[in-house]
Amino acid sequence: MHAQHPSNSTFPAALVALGLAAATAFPAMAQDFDWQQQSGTSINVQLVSHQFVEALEPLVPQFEELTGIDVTLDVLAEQAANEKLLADLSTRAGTIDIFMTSPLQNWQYATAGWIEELDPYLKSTTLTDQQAYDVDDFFQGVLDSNRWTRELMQGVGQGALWGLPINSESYLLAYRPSVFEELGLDVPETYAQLLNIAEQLDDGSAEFGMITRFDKFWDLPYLTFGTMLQSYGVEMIDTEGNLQVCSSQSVEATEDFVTLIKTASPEGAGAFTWYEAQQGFAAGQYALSFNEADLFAPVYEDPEQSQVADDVGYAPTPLGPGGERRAGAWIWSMSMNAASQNKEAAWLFLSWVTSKETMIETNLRGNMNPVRKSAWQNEDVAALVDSWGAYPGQYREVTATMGEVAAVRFPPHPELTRMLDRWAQAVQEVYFNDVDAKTALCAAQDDIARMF
Amino acid sequence: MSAVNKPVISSRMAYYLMFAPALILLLAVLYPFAQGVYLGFTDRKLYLPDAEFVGLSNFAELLADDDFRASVVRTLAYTLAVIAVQLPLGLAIAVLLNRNSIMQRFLRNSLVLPLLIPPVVAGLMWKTMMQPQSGIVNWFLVSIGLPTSNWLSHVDTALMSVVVIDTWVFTPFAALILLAGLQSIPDDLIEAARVDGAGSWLIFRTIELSWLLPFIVLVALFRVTDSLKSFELFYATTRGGPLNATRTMHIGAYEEAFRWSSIGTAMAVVFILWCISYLASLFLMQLWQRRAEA
Amino acid sequence: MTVQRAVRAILIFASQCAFVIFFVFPIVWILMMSLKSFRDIIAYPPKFVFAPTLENYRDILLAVDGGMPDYVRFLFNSAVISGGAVALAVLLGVPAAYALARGNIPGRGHIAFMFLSFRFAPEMMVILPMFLLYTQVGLYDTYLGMILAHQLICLPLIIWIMMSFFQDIPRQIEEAARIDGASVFFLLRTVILPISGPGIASATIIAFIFSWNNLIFGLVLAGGSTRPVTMGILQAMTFDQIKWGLMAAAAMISAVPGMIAAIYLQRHITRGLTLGAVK
Repeated sequence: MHAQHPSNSTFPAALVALGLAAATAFPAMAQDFDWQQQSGTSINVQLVSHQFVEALEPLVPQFEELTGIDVTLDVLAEQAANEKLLADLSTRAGTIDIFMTSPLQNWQYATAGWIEELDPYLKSTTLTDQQAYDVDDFFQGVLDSNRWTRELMQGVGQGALWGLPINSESYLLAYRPSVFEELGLDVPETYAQLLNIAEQLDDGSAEFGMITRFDKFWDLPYLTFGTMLQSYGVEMIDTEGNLQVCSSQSVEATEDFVTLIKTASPEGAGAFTWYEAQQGFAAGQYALSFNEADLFAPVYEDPEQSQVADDVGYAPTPLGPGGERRAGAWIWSMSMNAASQNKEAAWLFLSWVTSKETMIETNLRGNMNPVRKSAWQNEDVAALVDSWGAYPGQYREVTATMGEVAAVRFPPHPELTRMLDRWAQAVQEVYFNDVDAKTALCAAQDDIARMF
Repeated sequence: MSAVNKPVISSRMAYYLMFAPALILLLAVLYPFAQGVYLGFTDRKLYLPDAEFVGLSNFAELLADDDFRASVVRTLAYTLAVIAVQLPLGLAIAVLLNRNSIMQRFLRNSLVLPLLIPPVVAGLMWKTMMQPQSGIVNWFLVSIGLPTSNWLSHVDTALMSVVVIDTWVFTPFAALILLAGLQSIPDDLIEAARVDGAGSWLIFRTIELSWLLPFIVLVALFRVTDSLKSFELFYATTRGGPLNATRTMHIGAYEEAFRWSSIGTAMAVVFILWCISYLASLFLMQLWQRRAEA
Repeated sequence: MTVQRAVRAILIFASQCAFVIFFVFPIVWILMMSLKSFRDIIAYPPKFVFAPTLENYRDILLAVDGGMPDYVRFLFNSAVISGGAVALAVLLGVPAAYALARGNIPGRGHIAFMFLSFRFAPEMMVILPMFLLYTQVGLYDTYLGMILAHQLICLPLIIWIMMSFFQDIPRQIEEAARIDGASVFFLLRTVILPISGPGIASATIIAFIFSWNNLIFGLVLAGGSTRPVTMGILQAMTFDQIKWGLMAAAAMISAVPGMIAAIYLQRHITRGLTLGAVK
């Protein structure tokens, strides 16, 4: 195996431990199912630098031994991975067999016919160890977010399966219990409450009040601010097919969002990416991290990486004006290149990665959050997660609450990223240029309408 | 050409043989170039199988697009700022280091260091140093009692912050060239002026500066063309934001191609950028040749 | 007069301090970062006193399974690619530069400018078509392919610098030999090259630094087996955090070859880039 990662110092110990574990974990699979059928082939797997990769890397030699397939992992930073992937897919070069992706990107790749439908592989008895794989063990919603009929603007959750999930991310509030206690504040349950206390958040020992990801790209309306928008009752397209980008709720949510940031966040807030959001909160400079990824928790809880390891709590994202809570979701998945020359071997790898055993192994090594029910039921995974939060089980409770309301609520369209980039730009205009929210959003809506 | 140097046929052939391999190699590389240019005249979307030749319509659309026009202005402003800062600064450093004390030699050696950090890494490092709340730059400014800035995080300051980073990465390059220029001035020229009673400033203005002119044009040539197509620093720091404050032509082309799959439009943008670079460098080359002849 | 001199000394000292703070301090800061734990790196106010750790260097340099650690392989790849690219560029570029400097080739000024103009091309223009071409002809993810692509960086630089250098060599030197009936190739090999050492050395170093720092070709045209060191450094960017310690350590290591060469050959560097301007 050629793992392309600078930091795998735990490798030898892990390898030994897993070598032993493999003997017990896989015998059932090895007996009834021919894992060696593609022995001698090699596949290229492109991964995005992510905790999942660090968790997976030490396990790969196990797969190579099980199947005789030679695996080359190519780990790239997220942007770089996108660029490389697009170069490969668009020229149908087939240099990558399996890659990390997400439903949002897959809508474009599937439209173009660049990725392989996975159902035939999943159903095949020769290629999939049906009993051990147990596809029903995936959370239905998470798995189905990778289905799409390839009809524009509809059909998500139905039709062909384009990828298999490897972890899921939703959003929550992370806060510093000591600061809230010091200020005598309760953790806000609604956006109205949050707006009320926004002014006071930096009065305590935290230097600044609130941090959130706020840049000019599609992640804004899709993920973090998207969670707020959806709780205000805004979906990009309503049930009648009308754009809601400048609906009255959307305008209200945008105004509140900008007010919130102007009140509680420092001035640089208009350019915060995940990097600043996570780092700022982990450094203990902020009282509250707003609608941020739940899977930052492992970093916050690690005293090696965080100054707040013993002072962090989690809460569900606030309720909207109508008492509703909804949230965005990001589901890292793996898909197969339609131009791959080694599809059967690639599938064996894909099904091995997403198998119960491998998923649990990666979860235990920090691949959050699990996408299989069996993983959440696993005692070791539960024990790992249980210690997180202001009290035992808090993180688990919050993610469970969020899990019920998290979904991808966007119309599938290959131009969606451009549309959402335009939407984000409008929100930035409101923040930076003091443009009236309605004017900015309606201008964006007109532009978006033209992109369809 | 001196009369002695009459080329024989065989030696002319030899000259052709000498540069032909290099030319052939670059022409082979030129083939993808041509393909890229051609794409600029099509409506190619990466995710659609077919593309049509659309003539100049990509270019017409771009010229009518406010965002694009703004990005041209931004690119030019960036380039001008880079030149306006780095030429004088590089010159000042060169003058400052044009001595042979131990201190100067140490500084000259350390001047090379920024060149050895890949620009994309330099960009990332500077971004975290410039972070308004947690970065060391603002911390330093506060500790010596100077006002702070939002640097890359605000629309008003972002572009100039990238200029600052660019200055760190590439001024050493300018300074090293100008330093070499200064050191190539024959000592007797300066001595003669000094004997005539000229002060340092007068010597600098009348002798050193005029000697340096070709070097200055050379620095300008390199820095102008590199700044016009500057990509990695933006990619590492702002990726065009906040809002569109740092969305230069090259970043715009990147967005069109890799975020939005509009490779046709992207190539049209890049082609225009290439033309601007070409014209600018041609202009500077001619300036240079004229100076060199004078 | 003494007051004036004192003021002058103070001004020079102050500007040297400013110079050190702006140009040298960031390097020192990156070096410190490479010796810190993540917790110390993100600490605010910034920490100047900390318990240094070699963990970051250990993580990227030490072999994990007896094989070559990833980062060392990236370094090796870069050494092969940049070394090979510069060698090829010298092999092709030096004769070409000589021909363009001395040969009476019609339109040689234009040809020379064309060589240079490859440097101006925005990378975005070539990467997709190049990737397509490379995968079709089997150059993708090969050292040869990377070396060829890096000619776009190295060849114009080498030709440009060497051309300026050759123009500075007094013609009399060659003419003496030519009267004896020596061929141009012979002339180049026996007369010109021996006195061109410093020029070639400086051209080599400059081309090497530019090639070593290149990102875009390494991203698109290299795969798992030829990834250069710049891409290796960027692996420290995960989706949610930048592992600053690893990145800083990787950047420090990556700068070492250039640093040694540059300090050693610094005089040549400045000489190489500018000789053409002195006419």
